[in-house]
Amino acid sequence: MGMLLYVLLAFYAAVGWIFNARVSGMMASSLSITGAMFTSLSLITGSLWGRPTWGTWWVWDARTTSTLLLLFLYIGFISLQSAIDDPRRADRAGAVVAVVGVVNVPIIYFSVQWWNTLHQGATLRIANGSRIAAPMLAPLLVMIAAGWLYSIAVVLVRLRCLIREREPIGAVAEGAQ
Amino acid sequence: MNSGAFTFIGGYPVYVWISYALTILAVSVEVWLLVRRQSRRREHLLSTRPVNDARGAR
Repeated sequence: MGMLLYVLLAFYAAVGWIFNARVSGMMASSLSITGAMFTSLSLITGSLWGRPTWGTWWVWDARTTSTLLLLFLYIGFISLQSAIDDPRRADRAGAVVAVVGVVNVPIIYFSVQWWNTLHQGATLRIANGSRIAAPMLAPLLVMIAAGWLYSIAVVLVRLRCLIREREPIGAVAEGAQ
Repeated sequence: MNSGAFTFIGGYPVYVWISYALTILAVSVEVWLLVRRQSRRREHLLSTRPVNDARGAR
């Protein structure tokens, strides 16, 4: 979730940057909180799983380290946007971080193939069949769908908040009528 | 390997329950912050509504 939300964030930030589209910048801001939340959750719950499975809470494994870097990118994006008062400048500055940071996403995804790591390889595969027990696959797919539906709902509500906060009150009222 | 996190409750290891609880907590906090943000904005709009607004005059 964290990775795909970051790709979306970078896409919207880039569109906002290139075409000077205000709503795209707001969409990127809106995606950042939810993406950071999911990335934090994956790191914390992964650590809880790692303790009984690997015998340690944390290893500086390629997958875990690059995912931690993703969390730092989210935090950097959110902090940078919060630090700049002018929303348009904040969007542009955030877009630079988002676009540069998107390089990290394929590194996270392919890290288990490129390096010999403690982390297991890809479990869900479309081409060669999934390497996961069927009783676990069904709830996993349900949770992925739930995560996406939740993300879409929360991001759109936050986007509406941002539009109302940034646009002049008169303009919003006229648009609503 | 035989750590406390592998103690089973209700057929599942403890870390599964903790992960569920953390996920529900994180989602709840995010939704709560969003709802609070929305209600603050609504209060702000109501407090700054012009006096000659037709709806405000009722």
